Amino acid sequence: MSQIHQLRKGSTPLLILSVLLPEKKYGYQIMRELEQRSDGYFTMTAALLYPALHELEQEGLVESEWESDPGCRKRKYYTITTSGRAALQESHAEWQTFVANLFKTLENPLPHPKETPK
Amino acid sequence: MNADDYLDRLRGQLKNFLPEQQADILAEIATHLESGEQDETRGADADARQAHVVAEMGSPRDMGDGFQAVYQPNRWLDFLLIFVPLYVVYPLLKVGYNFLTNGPIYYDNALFLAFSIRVAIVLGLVMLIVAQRRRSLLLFAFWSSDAITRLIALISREALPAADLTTRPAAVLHSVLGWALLCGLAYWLTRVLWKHRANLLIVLFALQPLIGSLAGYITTTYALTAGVAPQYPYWTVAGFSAQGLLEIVSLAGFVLLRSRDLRWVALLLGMGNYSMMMAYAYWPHLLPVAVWMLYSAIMLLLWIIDLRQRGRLAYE
Repeated sequence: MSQIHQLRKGSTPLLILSVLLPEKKYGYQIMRELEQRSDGYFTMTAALLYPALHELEQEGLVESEWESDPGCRKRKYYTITTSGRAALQESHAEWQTFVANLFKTLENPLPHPKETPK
Repeated sequence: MNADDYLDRLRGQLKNFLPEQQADILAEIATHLESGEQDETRGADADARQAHVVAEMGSPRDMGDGFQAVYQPNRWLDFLLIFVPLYVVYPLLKVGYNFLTNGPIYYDNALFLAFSIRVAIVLGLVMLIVAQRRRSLLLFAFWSSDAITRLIALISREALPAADLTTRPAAVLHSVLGWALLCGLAYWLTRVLWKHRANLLIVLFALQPLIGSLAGYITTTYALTAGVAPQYPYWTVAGFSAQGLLEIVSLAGFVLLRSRDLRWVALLLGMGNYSMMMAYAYWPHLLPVAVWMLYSAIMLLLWIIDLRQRGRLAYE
């Protein structure tokens, strides 16, 4: 698995929670919204999304409820919980720090010892 | 591969799961496939939309592995995590108490009764922690209900007289702790059962100790008031209590069988047999017999409701 793939997989819970922040959604909606919001960068398979949703539910970060939509069969809607909001905030801050420090490190290398003015 | 093939293959990947858990997952994935097929922003051709949504599912194996990692299902382990504490550890602790105190193992021995209820509560709480770690709905339903029933027995048996409230602070604290634990567990169980309220099989499995205790309380109170001495039958099979063996067979069937109807039969076998035994013990006194018959009737009614509801929620 490539490093970037691992990073993307690691960011899955954060992305799902962020999509659920404004309102409850069902799995297919979450997948489509992630795709739209990232201009197709974060395309997630259902095989990754649904176990991740169930994991988040087991951790108490989201809650689910089967609800009827007019003209459709029942759908399972996910809602972010208070703990989920707190986890999202924390995770958001951690990723911001990580990304900022990553680019700071990549873009500002220390001068090579040989180049140090005497 | 079309949507039905995908669901069939996924079902194969989820064969270790409890049937209701499997049905819930399959129902959710079926609605995902259906949403994709109906999503007209993905093109005008319905067949192309179906092919597209199946293509972006990921393999059934990957999805099955993902769910396995979340739930780690193992129905044999769940069965053993009920059977061993209830039918091996708990009796051994009671025998150990008898060995250490030389007291009789009878329920008219107040000290023994107080010990056995407390041990059962502690055991139940330990098993609840195990249930939480295993994320097992079945274990949680069983052990929370068991602990609640025993807490109610403890609190009602050892209710403090009003005069003791000021003179025995330790006893008051004990009582407050008992109530706090009872309320906390009852709230937790109610939340979980409300979430699974459409699954009457699990709801009945979780509530049966409470319903049985309520029926027992009513009939025992009647027996004490009316001076009735119930004649409990005691049948044995190869030296073992027939009732105990039936309870184990019922539990094993409920946890290990895959067919929902057979699991209903297994559950009703244990509960129905118990209620018939109690009705027999109180015969011909109308009220207790009626209470135990009502207990059986409620179970049958729930099964009928479950049959009528089948397929409305879960993917069948």
